[in-house]
Amino acid sequence: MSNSIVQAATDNAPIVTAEKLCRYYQSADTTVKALDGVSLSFPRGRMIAIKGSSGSGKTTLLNLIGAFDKPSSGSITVDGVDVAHMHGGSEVKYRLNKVGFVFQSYYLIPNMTALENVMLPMELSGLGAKKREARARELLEKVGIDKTREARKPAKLSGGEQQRVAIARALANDPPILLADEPTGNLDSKTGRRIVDLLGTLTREGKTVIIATHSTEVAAAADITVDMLDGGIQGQSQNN
Amino acid sequence: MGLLKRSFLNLIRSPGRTGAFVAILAVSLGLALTMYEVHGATAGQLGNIGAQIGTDITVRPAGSFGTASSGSTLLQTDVNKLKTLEHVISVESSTTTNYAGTVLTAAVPTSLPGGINAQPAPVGTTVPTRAFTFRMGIQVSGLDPADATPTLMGGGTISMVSGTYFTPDQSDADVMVIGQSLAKANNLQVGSKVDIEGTQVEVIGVYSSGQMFGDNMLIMPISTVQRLYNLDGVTTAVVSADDVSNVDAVATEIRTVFDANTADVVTATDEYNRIGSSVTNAASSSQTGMIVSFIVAAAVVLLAVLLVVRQRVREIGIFKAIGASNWRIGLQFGIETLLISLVAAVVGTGITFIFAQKVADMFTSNNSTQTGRFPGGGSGFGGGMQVISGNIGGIHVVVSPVVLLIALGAGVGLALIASIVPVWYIARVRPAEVLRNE
Ligand SMILES: Nc1ncnc2c1ncn2[C@@H]1O[C@H](COP(=O)(O)OP(=O)(O)OP(=O)(O)O)[C@@H](O)[C@H]1O
Ligand SMILES: [Mg+2]
Repeated sequence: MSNSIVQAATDNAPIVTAEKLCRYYQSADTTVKALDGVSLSFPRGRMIAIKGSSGSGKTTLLNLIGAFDKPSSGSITVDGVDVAHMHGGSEVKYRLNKVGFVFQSYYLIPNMTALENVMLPMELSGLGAKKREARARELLEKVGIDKTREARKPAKLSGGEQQRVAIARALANDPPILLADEPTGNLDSKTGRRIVDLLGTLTREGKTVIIATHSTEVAAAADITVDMLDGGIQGQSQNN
Repeated sequence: MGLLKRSFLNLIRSPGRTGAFVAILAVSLGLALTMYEVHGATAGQLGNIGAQIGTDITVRPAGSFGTASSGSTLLQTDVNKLKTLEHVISVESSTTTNYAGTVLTAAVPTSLPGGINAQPAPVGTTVPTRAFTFRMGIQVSGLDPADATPTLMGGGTISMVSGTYFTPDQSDADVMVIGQSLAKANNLQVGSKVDIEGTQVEVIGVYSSGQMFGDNMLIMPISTVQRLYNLDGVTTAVVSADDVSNVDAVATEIRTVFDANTADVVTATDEYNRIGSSVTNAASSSQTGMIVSFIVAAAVVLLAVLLVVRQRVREIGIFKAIGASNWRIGLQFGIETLLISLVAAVVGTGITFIFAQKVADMFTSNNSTQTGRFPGGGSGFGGGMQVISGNIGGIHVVVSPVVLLIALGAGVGLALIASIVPVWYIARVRPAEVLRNE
C-alpha cells in the first residue's frame, strides 16, 4: 500500500505503518535477521492475522508494535506515535493506553485474583478504586467470566478462563489496539475458537486486533491475513 | 493501600525465603547493634575514667600499688610539702590499714561469687601478723575530717544512715563511722564502743555506700588511725592539679619530693592507659565488629534483593508490558525490602538486648585478672584506682530502648541502599526478552 494517501478523516488512515523495519539479533558470530526490511500498513478497526511458520518473525513484529522491543533500523508508527524513538514516560504511557497485549501463556500475575489482575492496568493509569473495580467486573462479565470466578487466583482457573481474564486485562484502559501472540496456542480448538470469536467482536467496537498465529483456522476468522517468511512479508490478503 | 498489601502478600507467598532473609538480616543487624552498644559503653567508660581521675595524681608507698597496702607509709612531713607545689589545688591524705582484731566479724563472705578471692591480710611491720590467712579483711580507713563528704574515687559516695560523720573538731577523737552491713553483722549502732587496738572507739555514725566492700569498712579521722595503729604518715595521698595539662609537670615535682624507692607516683594518664587499655581494646574490636556486621547486613540485603528480582523477572516483564513505570515496579520491591528490613530490625534489637552484655564480657575477659580486683580490698577510699579498676572489670552495657529506633533507622537505610539494585535491574528489562513463550 505504497500509494496510501493521508486523509482528513483519521479513521481511514492506517493505524500501523512500518517502513523497512529491521530487527537483528547479534550473537557471537552470527546475525539473526528476525525482521528484515518489513514495510506494511494495517487499517483501523479490523482483525489482522499474521501467519507464518515458526521463526518467521511474528512475535518479533508484535513486540515492536507493542513497544516491548526496539527495532534495529527502520521506522514504525502506531496510531500517530513514532514507536521506534520513544523513551521513559512516553513509552510507559503508550503501553498503558495504546495497546493491550494477550500472550499465549496468559501471563497473569499469579498472586492476584482475576479481578485484581484486570484492575491493575487501571490502577497504574490512576483510576479510582471504585471505578476500576466496577469496570473490571464489567469487563470480566463481557469476556464471560462469572462472579464466582472473579475472586480466584489464576492457578484455579482453566486455560480458556485465564485467557479471557487476560483479554479483559488487555481491554482495561480501552486501548485502540489489541495484540495477541498465539492466543489459542495452549487451548483446545473449541475453546480457541471461542477466544477468537471474542476477539472478533472487539473489532465491531472499533478496535484493531492483531493476532500472530500458525493456525489457518484462526487466520480464516480475520479480515486480513499477512503471510510471513524468514523475517519478511510474503503477501497481505483481504479475506471474504 | 494496595501496594503495601501486595508487598505483604508477595512476602508471605514464599514464607521460607522471606523467613531466611529476615533471620540472616536480623542476626547481622543485631550483631552490628550489639557492637554499637558495646562501643558506646566503652566510650562512655573511657570518658568516666577520664572524668574520675582527671587531674588526680596518686602517691603511695613504693611497691604497694595495685596490691594491698605494703605496710610502709609516706611521711606526713613530706606529704605536707606537696601542698606547696605549684599547680596543686588540694592534697587528700588517707591512711588505710586492715582491721586485725578479733572483736569484729567481716560482713563480706569469704568466698564470693564471680571468683573474686579474698585478699590476704598484709604482712605489716606494725600490724599484728595474720599474714596470708585467707579471710576478708575489714578495712580501716583514716580520712581527713575536713572533708565532710568523702567520695570513693570510683564514684561511690557514702550517705549516713544514722548518726553523724566526724567533724574537724574530732580530728584526733576515738570515733568512727562504720558501714551498715558491718554494723549489722556485729550488732553495732550509734553509741556502741568497740575495742580497736586496745582503745575503746565509739561508733558515731553508720553509713551506706551501696557497695559490698565499701560497707565493710571502718572510717576514722586520719590522726586517730595513725595513733591507734602506730602508723607514722599516710598510705595514700591524692594530689589534684589545677589543670590536666599541668598533671605531668606536677608529677615530676612530686617525684623530686619522693624518690622512686619511696613512692609510686601515678598520674591520670598512666592510670588511664593501664586501666583503659582493656576498654580501648574492646572499643576498637567492637568498632571493627560493628562495621563488619553492618557491611554483612548490607551485603545480605543486596544479595536477597538481587535474588528476588532475578527470580521475579517475568513478573517485572508483565508489569512493564501492561504499562507500569520502572519507578512504580521499583517501589513495589522497595516496600518489600523495607518490610523485611523492619522486621529484621525488631528481631535484631531483641538479639542486641540479649547479647550486648555477653559480648562486652567476652571482649574484656582477658583482662579480668588485672582489673577485676575488688575495690577497697587493700586500700579503701584511699585506693581509688582500684575502685575504678573494679568498676570497669566488666564493661557494663545498658541497652536502652533507643536502640530500636537506631535499628529501624538502619533497616530503612539498608532498604534504601538495596533498592538501587531493583531500580537498576528493572530499567534494563525489556518485556520482549522475558516474555518469550517457552
Ligand atoms: N532474543 C533473541 N536472540 C536471538 N535470536 C532471537 C531472539 N528472539 C528471537 N530470535 C530469532 O528471531 C527469529 C524470529 O523469532 P520470532 O519469535 O519472531 O518467531 P515467531 O514467528 O514468533 O516463531 P513462533 O511461531 O515459533 O513463535 C527466530 O529465528 C528466532 O530464533
Ligand atoms: Mg512467536
